[in-house]
Amino acid sequence: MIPDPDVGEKEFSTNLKKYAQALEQEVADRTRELSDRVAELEDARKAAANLLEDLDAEREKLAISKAKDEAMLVSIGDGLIAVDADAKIIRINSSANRMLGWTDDEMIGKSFFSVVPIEDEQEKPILQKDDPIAISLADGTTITGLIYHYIRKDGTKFPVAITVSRVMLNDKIVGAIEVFRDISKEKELDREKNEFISIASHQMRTPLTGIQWVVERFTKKEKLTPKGKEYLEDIHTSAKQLIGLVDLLLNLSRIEAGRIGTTPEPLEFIGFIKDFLGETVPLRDKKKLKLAFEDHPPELAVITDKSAIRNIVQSLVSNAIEYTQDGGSIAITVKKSASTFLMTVQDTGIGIPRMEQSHIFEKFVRASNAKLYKTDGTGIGLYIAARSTNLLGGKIWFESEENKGSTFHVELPLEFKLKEGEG
Amino acid sequence: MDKTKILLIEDDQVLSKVLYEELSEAGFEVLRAYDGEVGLQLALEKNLDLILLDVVLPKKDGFEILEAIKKSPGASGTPVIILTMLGIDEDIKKGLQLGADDYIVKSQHALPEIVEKVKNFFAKEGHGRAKQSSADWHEVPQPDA
Repeated sequence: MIPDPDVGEKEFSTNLKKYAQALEQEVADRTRELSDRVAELEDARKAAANLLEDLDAEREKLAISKAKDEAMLVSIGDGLIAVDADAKIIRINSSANRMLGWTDDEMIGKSFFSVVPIEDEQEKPILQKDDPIAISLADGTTITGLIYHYIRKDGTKFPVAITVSRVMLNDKIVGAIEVFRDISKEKELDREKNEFISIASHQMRTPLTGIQWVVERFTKKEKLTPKGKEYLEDIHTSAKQLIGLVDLLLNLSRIEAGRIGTTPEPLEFIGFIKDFLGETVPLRDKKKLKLAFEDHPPELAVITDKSAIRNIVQSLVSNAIEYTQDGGSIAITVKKSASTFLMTVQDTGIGIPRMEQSHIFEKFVRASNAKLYKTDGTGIGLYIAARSTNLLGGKIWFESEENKGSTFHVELPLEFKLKEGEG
Repeated sequence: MDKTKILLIEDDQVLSKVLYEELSEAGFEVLRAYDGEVGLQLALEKNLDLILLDVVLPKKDGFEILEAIKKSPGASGTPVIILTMLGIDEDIKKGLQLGADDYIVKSQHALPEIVEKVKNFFAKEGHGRAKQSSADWHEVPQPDA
């Protein structure tokens, strides 16, 4: 088509204008769009900057918290070792490094068991499966307050009290944390305490025996008024009482130092009890107590530790005598079975109140009625009896009713053997 | 008539005195030493029937004396009873290992019981020279009726 030049020009100019308008509109639209985008971007940038700031703040908080944790780990005197589920060491604090003699590099990533050999309280090696960390990782137990020996890099040993807690994540055990404390000083103090008691009681015993024997000579050789004789008897009773107390203290220190229950020896138990009962004649006569020791085999050969078994017999029989009212009765029986023997001491004494029965074997515990009945007493006897029974691998238990009496039972192996590696 | 001869090696003066008196009254001839050196010397020189030997002694302890006695050709046959304080099982064990015949825990016994133990020892050993009088013999109280 050939355009009419006049009409064409007019039309062209109109179209051009329209076109220019449309273009302008378009530019204006785009510009607006662009500026909107710029604004959006600006917002986004601001948001990102804020986020970054927050992140920085969080990171700083974390760093501070980590530094605090670090400072805590470094400053606690206890050793701390964290392991993963395979017992590989992932974290150690400096106290642990110092105590064990290993550096971080030498420990991290290695199996705990290969770096820290462990022995029990008696310095016998502990198998890997019995290591507290292994136990805790296996079944999630928290182990606390147990005493072991750790072996340092240089091969020396030191006693530790340890606590192991497992670390759980989504119900799975992912590791364990062990905290351990060097208890050499406590052990040393304990040893010194026992040593002191031991020496003191030995030193006291010679003069006490002197008093006892001189009074015996005096009573036998000198002419005395009845009153004088009575006074001497009082001195004798007091001296004997003091000897008994000193013996008790010494026994306690020996038990705590692990110095009894170490010597299995043949012993005829029935004769042994009879000998001991012989020592109690004066007090039994004074209190007019009836004693029956009839239900027993004629003889009973056992292998046991004499000190330990004496502790048991002495504690149970003395208590029966001490805490039974005048005129009461005591019955002792011994029964033999396949690999054990059972001694029972029954009395018609004051008994042990029900509420206090569960604590009666604890150290220095005396029943409330016992304290009222007899003011002097240490609360050591039954503790020693229980510990001694334990050392011999036996069992001790009782039934008791207040104001009716008590029956104590001790079951011991006929043949006491030292645990492997002892003695 | 020859009396049974006992050497008492005990450093505590009081214990030594009353033991000496009680044993002498029971008819024994008692020699005394207060330290380990004199004790050993008497143990080796004198012809004895029994030695009562304390463990903790000045100059030489009871174990040294016991070892020396057991090594000596003249005195090695003399019976030895260790006198000890309660609770020192290690001492008793060591004493018996070194050849002591018996032991007495001092603080556990009244004086007459100790004399009794010594008499019983001679009775058990069937000791030919045990000729002490039995005038003041008395029964140890029987424990059960």
